[in-house]
Amino acid sequence: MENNKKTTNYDFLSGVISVVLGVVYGFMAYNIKRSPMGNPLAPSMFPLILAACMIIFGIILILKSDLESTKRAFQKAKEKATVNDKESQKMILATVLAALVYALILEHLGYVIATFIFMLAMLTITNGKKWVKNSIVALIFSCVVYYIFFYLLGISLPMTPFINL
Amino acid sequence: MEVLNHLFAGLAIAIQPYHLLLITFGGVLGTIVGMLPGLGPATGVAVLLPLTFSMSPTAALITMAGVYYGAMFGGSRSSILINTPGDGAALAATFDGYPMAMNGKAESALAISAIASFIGGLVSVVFLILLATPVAKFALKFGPAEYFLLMVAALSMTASMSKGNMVKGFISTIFGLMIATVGIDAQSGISRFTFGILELQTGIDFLVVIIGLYALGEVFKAFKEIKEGKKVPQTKFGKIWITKEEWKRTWLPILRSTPLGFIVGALPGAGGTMASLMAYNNEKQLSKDPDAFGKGEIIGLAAPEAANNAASVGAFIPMLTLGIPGSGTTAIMMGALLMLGIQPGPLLFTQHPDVAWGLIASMIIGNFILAIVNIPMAGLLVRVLAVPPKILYPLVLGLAFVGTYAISNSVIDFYILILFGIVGYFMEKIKIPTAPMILAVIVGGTMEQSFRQATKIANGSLSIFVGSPLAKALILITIISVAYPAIKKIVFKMFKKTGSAQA
Repeated sequence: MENNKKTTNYDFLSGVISVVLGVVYGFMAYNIKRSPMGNPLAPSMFPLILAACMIIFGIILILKSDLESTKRAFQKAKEKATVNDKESQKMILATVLAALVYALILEHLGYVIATFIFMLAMLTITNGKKWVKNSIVALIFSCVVYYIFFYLLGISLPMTPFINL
Repeated sequence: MEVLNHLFAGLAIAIQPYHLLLITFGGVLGTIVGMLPGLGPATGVAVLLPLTFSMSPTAALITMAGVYYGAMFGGSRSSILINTPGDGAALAATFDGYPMAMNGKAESALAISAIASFIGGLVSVVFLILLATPVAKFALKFGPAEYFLLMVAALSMTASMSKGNMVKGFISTIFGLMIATVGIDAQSGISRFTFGILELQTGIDFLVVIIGLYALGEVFKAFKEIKEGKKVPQTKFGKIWITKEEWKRTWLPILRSTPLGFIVGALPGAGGTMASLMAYNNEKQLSKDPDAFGKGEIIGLAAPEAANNAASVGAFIPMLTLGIPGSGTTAIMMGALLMLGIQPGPLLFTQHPDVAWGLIASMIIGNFILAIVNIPMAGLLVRVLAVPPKILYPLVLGLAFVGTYAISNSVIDFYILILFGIVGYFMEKIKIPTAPMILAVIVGGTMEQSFRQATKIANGSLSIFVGSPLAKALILITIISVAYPAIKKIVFKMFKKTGSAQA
C-alpha cells in the first residue's frame, strides 16, 4: 500500500495500552489469594487467561500498526483541532468536574438541592449564562424527578436536610 | 397449537390497560429518542432504566422493548427531514429519504418509512413466535461447557463484526470480561481486583458501566454538535401517505428485507445498522435502475427501514432464549431483568411464560400503536427535533445520574459512571468499538462460572470443551467467525491487486 505513509490512527498506542493493561492485570491475577478449597488457583485461572489474551491481541495490534501513524494522528489532532473541538473538550472537562462535585454533595445537601446545583452548572456549560432560564429548567427537573422517583416509584433518593422532605 | 395458546395468554397480558399505556409510552419515547440525533435506543433504554425498577418484570420489559423498536421508527424521521440519522440504524434512510424530502416528497418518505417499519416489525414478530420455543428447547441441552463455548462464539462474532477491526473488537471484549471479574469471587469468596476498596467487593455493576458508556459517553461525543449549526426541519406537511404506484414498487423489497434484517439482528454483534445497510445494498443490486438510488428512490428508503425494525425484533432471540444479548440495547434489557430477579435464557419460556409471551404479544400491539403514532401524528412529533440539544443533553445526564443512584443507593457508583463516560469517549477517539465490551461485561460473570463448572466436572481437564458434537460445532462457529473477515480481506486484496495491475 503506497498511501500507507498518510494513514493516521491510534492503533500503536492502543496496542501498547492493551499490553500494559494485560501485564498489570495478569500480575494482579497471579497474586490473588489462593483458594482454601478445591484447586487453589481456581479464582486466578480465568483472569490469567484473559490477561494472556489481552497481551496477545495487544501485540498483534502493535505489529499491525506503526508508531509513525500514531505520531501523525496526534499531530493531526493538534493541527486540525477546530474551535469546536477545543470547546467540546472544555465542556467535557467541565462536565466531569461538575459531576464529581455532584457526587460529593448529593448525600449532604439532598437530591433536590444537589441536583439543582448540578443541572444549573450543566446548563450553564451547554446553554451559556442564561441564569433565569437555566435556573427554571434546573429547578423543574430536580423537583419533578424527585417527585416521580420518591412518591410515584417509591425509590428513595437523598432527602433534603432540615425540612426532611 | 401450544404456541397459539401461549400467544393468546400473552395477548391477554399485553392488552391490560396498564400495559397498553406502557407500550404506548415506551414506543413514543423511543420514537422521540430515536429521532434526536446522537441519542439511540441504547441511550433511551439506559436513561429509562430506573423507571422500570418499580415495575413488574413483564411491564419493565415491554416498556423497554417499546423504546427499542420505537427508536427504529423514529430514527428515520430525522434522516428524512434534516439528513442526520437519529441513530446508527437510520443511516441508510438518509441516502434516499433526504433526497425524497428535497424533491418535495417528504410526506411519501415519512409514510413509507413508517409503513416499512410496521411491516418489518410485525412480520418479524411472527418469526420470533415461531423460533423462540424451538431455540429455547434446544438450548436446554447445553451443559456448562457448551454454554461457555456458546458465549465464546457470541463474543467472537460480536468482536469480528464490530466496526474498525477485529483485533480491536477482541481487545474491547477482553476489557469487558476483565471488568466483570472485579469483586468477590462467587465460588471461593476471595476478593479480586478490588484495590482494597470496600465498595468494589460487590463488583462493578454492569448497568452503571452501560449507562456510563451510552448516556455520558454519547453526550460527551455530542457536545460538538451544540456549537454546530442547527438544521431546521420542515414541520408543515400535506397528507402523510403513499400513492398506489409507490406501494406497488415497495411491497416486495419490504418483504424481502424483513427476513434479512431479522437474521442479521439475531446474530450477536451485527444489529440494525448492518441490517439496514445490507438491505439497501441488496435492493440496489436487484434494482433495474440502480442509478436512481441515492437520488430519492423510494425503495432505497423502504428496504432499510423494514430491515432495521426486523433486526430489532431478531435481537430478542438470543437474549430471551439463550440469555446472551446480541446488542447493546438488549444487553441493557437483560440487565434490567436480572435486577428484577429474572434470568433470561432457555428456562425463561417455561418458568416465566408470562414475561416472555407478554413481551412478544406486546410487540404486535406496539407495532400497530407506533404505526398510528408515526403516520397521522408525524407532523406533530417532528417538532421535537426543534428541542435544542443544549437543553436536552443536560437532561440526559441528570437522568443518567438519578438512574445510577437508584441502582445501588450509593454515590460510589457516580465515580464509576463518570469513569466509564470518559472511557467511552476515549474509546471512540482511538476507534475501539464499545459494543463488544458491553456484551462482555454482561456475560462475563456467567461465562467464568460456566468455565469453572465445566472444568470441575471434567476434573480439571480441558477436554470437556471438545467433548460433545455440539461443543465441536460451537468451536467451529467461533473459528469461522474469527476467520471470516480475514478470508474476506485476502479475497479483497487479491481482487485489488489484479485491479491495480490493470490500472
